[in-house]
Parts: sequence; C-alpha cells; structure tokens
Amino acid sequence: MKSLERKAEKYDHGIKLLTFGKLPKIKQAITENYIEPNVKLLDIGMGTGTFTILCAKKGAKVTGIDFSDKMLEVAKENIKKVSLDENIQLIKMPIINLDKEFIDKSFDIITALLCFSELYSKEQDYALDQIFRILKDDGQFILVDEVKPKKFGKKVLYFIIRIPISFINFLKAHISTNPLKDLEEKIEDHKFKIIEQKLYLFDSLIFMRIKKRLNNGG
Amino acid sequence: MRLIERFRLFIAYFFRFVGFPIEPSIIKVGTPDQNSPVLITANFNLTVERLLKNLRGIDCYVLIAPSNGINVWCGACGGDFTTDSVISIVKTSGINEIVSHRTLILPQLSAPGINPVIIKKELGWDAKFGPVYAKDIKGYIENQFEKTDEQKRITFPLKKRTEMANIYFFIVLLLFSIPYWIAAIFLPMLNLLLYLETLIISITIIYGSLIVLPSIPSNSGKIKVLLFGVIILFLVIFFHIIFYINLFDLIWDIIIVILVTLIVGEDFHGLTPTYKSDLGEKSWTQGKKDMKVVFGKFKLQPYGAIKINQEECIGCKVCLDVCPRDVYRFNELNNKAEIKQANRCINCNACVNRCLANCLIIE
Repeated sequence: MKSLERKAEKYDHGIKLLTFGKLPKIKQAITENYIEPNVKLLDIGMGTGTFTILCAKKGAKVTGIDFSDKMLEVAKENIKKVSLDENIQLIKMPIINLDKEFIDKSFDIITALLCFSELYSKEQDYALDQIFRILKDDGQFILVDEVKPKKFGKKVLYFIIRIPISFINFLKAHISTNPLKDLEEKIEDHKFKIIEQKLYLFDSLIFMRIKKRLNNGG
Repeated sequence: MRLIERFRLFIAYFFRFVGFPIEPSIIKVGTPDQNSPVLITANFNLTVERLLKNLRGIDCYVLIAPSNGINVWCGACGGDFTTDSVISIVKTSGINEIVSHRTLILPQLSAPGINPVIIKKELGWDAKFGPVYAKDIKGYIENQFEKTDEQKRITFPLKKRTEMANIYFFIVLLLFSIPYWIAAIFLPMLNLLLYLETLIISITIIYGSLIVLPSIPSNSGKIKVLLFGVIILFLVIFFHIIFYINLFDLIWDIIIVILVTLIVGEDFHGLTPTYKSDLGEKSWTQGKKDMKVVFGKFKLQPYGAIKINQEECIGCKVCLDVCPRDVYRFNELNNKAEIKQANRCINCNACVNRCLANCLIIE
C-alpha cells in the first residue's frame, strides 16, 4: 500500500473497511495464540504499529521495520500512548535492504501482515530468502495477506463486493491493493512448509503459519 | 494477450492518475553486451511503451523499477518512484552479473525522489541523471553520457497540450454524458442538439485554452482560462442572438460555459509541466473550507519561491544538472551556483532534494 504513504493517519481506518473489520480480529487472535512473553519478534512492514503494540503488550521483544517515514511517525505516536518503548525497536528501512541488517537465525517469530501484496514477484522471492536466513530453525513465520479467491463462485462474489469498496477506499484514503497469486507454491519453493492455513472473507484474506523445512526431514 | 495490453494502454492514456503497473523486470533492447548502458524507468505501462519506442536502434538494458504504475515524474515527487525502487530492481534483476560496468542512467525527472548518494552507498553503482525525454537518449549516449542544456529542459509542445486536453475532455465527457442521458429520459428538453452544443462548448474551452496557453499574457492560470471563458461566453450569446433557439438552451449553455471554465481553471497551471500550480496544499484545504477553490483565489505562488544560501554552496553543480526549467546559472568567479530566473521555477523540488550541501530552500 505504497500509495497510502501520504495518508498514513487514515491507513488503519481504510484497512478496517477493506477487510470488513476482520483484520483487527485476526491480529488479536495471532497475539493470543502464538505470541509468548520474551520471544524475539520481527514485524515486517509494521505500518502504524497496531500489531506491534499488541505483541509488545504480551511481553514480546519486537523489532518493527517499515520504509515509510510517515507510517513510522504515526507508529511512534501510537507507541508513546501506551508507553511500551523498552519492548519495541523501530527501524526505518525498505524490505529490499533486509540482507544488510540482522544476523542469521536471530528471530523466533517473523510476521508480515498485508505486506507481501505490496511487493512484486521477485521482491517476494528475495524477502522469503531473507526471512529463511534470519528465522531460527524452530521459529515460525506468520503471514496475513490478500489473495485472489480460487473457486469460481467466490471469485464472482469477491469481484462484486470488492470493486465498489476498493473504489471508495481509493478516493478516501488512496489505498489500492494487489492481491497475491500462487502464494502456497512460492512458499514451498523457498524451503518453507505451511503448517496452518485459514481463509477469510470469501477466501480473499489468508492467514498462514509457516515453518522452515529442514534438510533432516524435520 | 497483445490485445489486452493494447486495451490497457488505451485506458491508461485517459486514467493515468490511477496507476497502470506492469511487472518490474529487465528488458534487453537490441543486442546488448556487458558494456552496454543500463537505463532505469518506472513501471507505468505507457512510460515503458514510449521509452522502448524511442530506444530502437540502441543496444542497452532497461530496468523497469517498481513504482506502483505511476510515471517517472509524478512517482518521484509523490513517493512512488524512489531510491528504494531502484535498489530493489538492481538487487532482484541480477544486472550485477550481466554487465561489467557500474553506471546507471536515471531519467532526469526522477531527481526529486531518487538519491544517487544512497544508491552508491547501498549498491556501489554510480547513478547519473540522463536527459528529460526518451527521444534524447540516443544523442546522450552518443555524446559520451553528457547532456546538452536543451536535453535538460522540460517543454510543453502542442502535441503534449493536445494530449492533456484529450484526457481532460474524456473525463468531462464521461462525467457529463451518463447523468445527462439518464435525466433525458424524464426531461424532454434535454435533446441531442443540446447535448452537441454542450460538447462543442467543452471542446472549445478545454482544447482552446490549452492550445493558446503560452500566448495568453498572465501569471495566473485561472485568469488565463477565465479570459478564454469570457470570449466563449460572448460567442455563445452571439450565436443565440443570430439563430434564436430558445431561452432554456441559452441559459443552459451559459451555465455550461461557466462550469467548464471553473473546472478547467481550478488548477490550470497545475495541468502543465512548465508553470507552477496555482493551488498549494494549504490553499487547497483552506479553500475547501471557504469555497475559495470554486470562486477564484488569485493568489500567486502559494508554494513559495526558491532561495539559495550562497555561503554554504559548494559548487557541485547538481542543481544545474537536475533543474528542468533553467533556473540556475554557474558563477565561474566564485565557483558557486546562483539563481538566474526564479520565476521560471515550478517547485518540483529536484534541486532542493538533491543539493549536496543542503543550501537550497523553497520558502
């Protein structure tokens, strides 16, 4: 959602509208089920920091990265409000610089919420390679993103409902989205395995829990 | 597939502000080898199409960087075509293994958003700003990657002005026609003749004002269009006096003239690349509140004027390289840049963002 950069303060609202209020619930569910105190977590494309704050409240040590100055400003304000500064570290960097930061196998959990759909195909390959590098062997990668529905009926439904909402959103908040295709295959190609997968909103929003596929069969 | 691409190009022509992305990639033009130049562009489909057309007969690589389908200049000013886009495409295209040199050629108009210093630091590549227009690239390469002053300048020739008018007219046509014909079902006085009259008025004002744009002597885009609108208004009244049709048609035509004049005049100079927009961000929000946007705000230069702090200038000549409007002059005596004609500045921020000494400011 690069085009949204100029309207960062409207981002959360726009996303809530686009996902029919589903995303905040998914964020809540992820924090409750998979985040434990003192895990090292990397939030790629943290945006306004809502998810980062939820994780930090649970006691995780969070590093958030985003390329947009304005998003980070909003995030900083949000973090100030809840005074969780010691658990959160913000870094301004684009995903394409992941190879210059972070040492190998240094994170327990890596999350990317609505961030992969902003990348073009080869950037996604690059990001998956880098995530594989910095994730611990027993760590997990949590991905939430928009996908194109596969079943025909749902495709039609999705098309009918989404087009007007996208249009309103584009006018209001400059949000435009680019749903992913063939995500599962791509993830399997990068030595990962999907251990849990859920679909929401006529199969247009995907939640995935992904682990490394190690050579010794584990 | 080719047909779909054609159709997308056609739609992109009229709705370019939405963004029409194509997949970022590396394209071989001609038969390039490891010493061939590497050019960067944005991933707006019309941009790529026109660039490739102009590169016929040159052997080079073109890297299409991700910019959300926005063109080079708008992308660079609006944060879509940035240093990160260039870093991304260089890293993911594998160009490092394909060529032996390390020089990228950027479009000059990408200067507001792309920082060659960071590219050098992150990638080790030297980035140079090439000419403004794709048609000059051939000459630029033949001239050992040196551009002439002419190749640095932005122009707004008749062809481009007509193109802008096409876009504007198409949108007005679309916005007007559908409600008109729906209303025509219920209102018998909305007939084909009236529709044609409306179209002719819109065409005259939109195309006319853009075509005569450079020859109207005024500093305000709004005044230019208003002058034009007044002339059309007299013509319309004159027409009605001679071929008296009916009173409703006359009132309708007058309202249409006023409406189209206001729509086109709202930010007439903002439509052009050679004049500074009449609307600043501030006057836009403020104007929305007190309706001054609609009822004319004749304030000039809402964005402020360019200033140089000569004490800090280090004479790097970057501003002379990136300015598309010939604002600067280099003073050989004290080895510093100076402002030659501030009124030509269009506030694209290229020089302000790229100045190596941070000595330029727009107040």
